[in-house]
Amino acid sequence: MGERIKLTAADGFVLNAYKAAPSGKPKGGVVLLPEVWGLNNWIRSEVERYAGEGYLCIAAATMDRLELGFESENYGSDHFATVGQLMKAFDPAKAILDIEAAAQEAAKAGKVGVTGYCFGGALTWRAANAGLGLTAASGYYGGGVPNYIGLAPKIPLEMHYGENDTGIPLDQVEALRKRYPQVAIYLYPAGHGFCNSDRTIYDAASAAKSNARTLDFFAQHLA
Amino acid sequence: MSIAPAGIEAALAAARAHPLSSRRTLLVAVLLDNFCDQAFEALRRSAPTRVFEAEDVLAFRERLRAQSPALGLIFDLCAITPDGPRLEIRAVEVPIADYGGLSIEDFMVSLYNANTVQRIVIILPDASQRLAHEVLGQAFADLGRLQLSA
Repeated sequence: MGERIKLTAADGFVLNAYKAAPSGKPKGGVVLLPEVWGLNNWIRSEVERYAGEGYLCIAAATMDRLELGFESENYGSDHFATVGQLMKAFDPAKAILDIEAAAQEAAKAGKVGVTGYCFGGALTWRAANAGLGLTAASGYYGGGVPNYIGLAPKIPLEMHYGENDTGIPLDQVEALRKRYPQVAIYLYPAGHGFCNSDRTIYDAASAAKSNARTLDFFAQHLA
Repeated sequence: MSIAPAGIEAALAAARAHPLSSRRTLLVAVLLDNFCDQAFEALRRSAPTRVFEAEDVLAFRERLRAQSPALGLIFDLCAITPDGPRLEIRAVEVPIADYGGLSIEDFMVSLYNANTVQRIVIILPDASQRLAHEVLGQAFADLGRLQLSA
């Protein structure tokens, strides 16, 4: 079982995190960056899945700077406007400080990889650009490609996108492939958020295939 | 090649299912454009009043343009002239009041992209823009209104 912990970023901001450790000696550390729903049930289960695979895993609450302790199980549209207003103040540069704090905690287990979904997928790319002492990055369907395509990754990076994602144009995924041939960019016959087993968009086959790739990637780079 | 309205409708449905696919959007535009030419050929002798008594296809297209600004814009788009309209994917800001109507995918992606969503737009020569799928939908509806099926 995992536990809730606090992390302190370089600017002194204290954020929430969820941490799970493997039963034996860790293979390394993993920083997990959530969707816009924060450290909710599914994200905590993902942290525990990585611990089950042998990694010390820490999910950082990257929305805490907007509303401390924000997390939600409500995937419905009834509170879209509330969260939309909240996110107007989001600052990716501050999020990088939070990821750095999580990476330092995860580094107690050795080399550290970073992964994340949607919001966390886009931040995974930004983390790969920032370095932060991370060793490898594997991100999932980070939207807003034009906002990060100019940020060249400094560490080994792979990305996973859905062919039927109505939030991310395939033309933009293609542009990423052309610009960064060294980055493995995988496509799956699925929509946005295909890994989230708590949502109807969940695609078990695509989730299994992409998760296996991430584990292989981390095994290759974090050993 | 013969394109029935049902074929265009199917292509439009496919484009709506992939709302950020420029290729699918362009395909619908070309099908609409081509259908108008086919309709003229099919109707010019059998039902001249339905093609507005036009003597040639260019005159027919001009009369269609007058009847349907959406079709006119499609014609200009398909003409691919250097100073004509073009398709582009752009970030479009979503007012907070409209958030409840977003798909969950648009919602999630908009949140960490300065409250914007990606949309295929038609950029006009004056630099203004129209949502491409709105124009396609209107043009298709106009085909039905103008009873152009052979």
